[in-house]
Amino acid sequence: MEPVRLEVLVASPPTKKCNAIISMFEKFLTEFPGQLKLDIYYAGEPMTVTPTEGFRKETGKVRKIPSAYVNGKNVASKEVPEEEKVRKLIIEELSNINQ
Amino acid sequence: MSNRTIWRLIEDDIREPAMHFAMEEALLRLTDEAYIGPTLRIRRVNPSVWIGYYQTPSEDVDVDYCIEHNLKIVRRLNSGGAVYQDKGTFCYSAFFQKNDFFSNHNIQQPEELYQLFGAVIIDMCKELNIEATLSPVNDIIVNGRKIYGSAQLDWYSAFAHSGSIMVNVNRDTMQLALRPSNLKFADKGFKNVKDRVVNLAELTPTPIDVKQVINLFVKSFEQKLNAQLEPSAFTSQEWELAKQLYEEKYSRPEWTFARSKTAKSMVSAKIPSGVLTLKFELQNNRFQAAALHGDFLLANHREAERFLSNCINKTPGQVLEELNNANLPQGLKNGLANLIKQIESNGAC
Repeated sequence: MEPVRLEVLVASPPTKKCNAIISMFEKFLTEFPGQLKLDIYYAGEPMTVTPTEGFRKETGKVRKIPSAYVNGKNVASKEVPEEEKVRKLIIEELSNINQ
Repeated sequence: MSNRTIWRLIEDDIREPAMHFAMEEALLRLTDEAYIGPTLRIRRVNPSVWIGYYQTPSEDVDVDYCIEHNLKIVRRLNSGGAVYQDKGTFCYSAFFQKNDFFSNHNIQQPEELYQLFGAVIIDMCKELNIEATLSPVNDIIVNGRKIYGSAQLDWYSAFAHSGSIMVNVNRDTMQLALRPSNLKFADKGFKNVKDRVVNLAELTPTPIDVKQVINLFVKSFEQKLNAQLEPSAFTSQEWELAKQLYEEKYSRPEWTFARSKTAKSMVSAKIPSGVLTLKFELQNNRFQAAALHGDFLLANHREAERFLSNCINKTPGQVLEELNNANLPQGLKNGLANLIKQIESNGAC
């Protein structure tokens, strides 16, 4: 099964907001073991993975830091997203994969 | 009585959690170096939160709540999940030479100790007319709710088996201080950490206190492990080493709070003893960084660290081959194999 992709674009070194997003997304990994993959992109550092199409489109012209994505769908820009909102989207994406 | 193993029994008054862990490591090191014989240490500490060796405070603990309520957060040397401790709990650690103890008790694998020491707790509960059972891997439960958890540390020739018993812990504070994933409890039928655990004092018809339970524990330990416990105190060598470890390691924020920034990708899997997360960085299909994170149990960190350092500059396929020969518990190997296969099939995306 393809994992749901979580992506976070953060400052280098990360700010308090960046760390809050990273922590939240790391927690989702433990909630949904074996179903997610999390990639953290540090602004200004080379990317070592291929980002999702959605991430590339969103960050093509203006990079909003921090920002966060679930399967390429933006869930936060310049702010820490609501945990429940992200969780709902993850569950939605997981059920799409299982259909 | 003559064939009983003589153990030192130390019930100390170290209440500061960082110093407590410094003393734990000192005892382990000195057991390995054969300066001391088998030792059973019993202690209670000031209200605090202890995270497992592979955990991250910001992920597993409500750090702001702990700071606000003066709850010190300290990283343990052994693995497992985050725990909250206060005067309503007590902990023990049994330090011994691995070969001697394993041969005396016919133990083949360290995991079997969860059952052996679990039996000490189950017998102790019987004395209180409480029917407790082992919930693999490392918990003791009563009517499905946890009263005890344990962890291990395999240190060269020495071994430490530790456990924590809830007698009358403040479950409300525990709930507020810890932030385990709710789904960890959901699959056991509980909503949160407060519902998942129960105090011994809530299970007995008459009030009990920690001291009474400690006495029952000591009696059960002697019987189950055929041990003769002799009350003792720390040696000056133990104090000296503990103070050094406190200053150089456990009292320093970086021991507990430092986080690795090198791994940029993460995947996770559920294994029998908890959730395992592999943090990694892959460049040109070769690992540039790899680290473990989570609340899973692992007695021997050195083997895991050796395996991870061997991963560097290797492809996921090569790492899978290395994993076959790694001296790691089978559950962890299976979990890692699944994660590496996932990385292999997804390549660099």
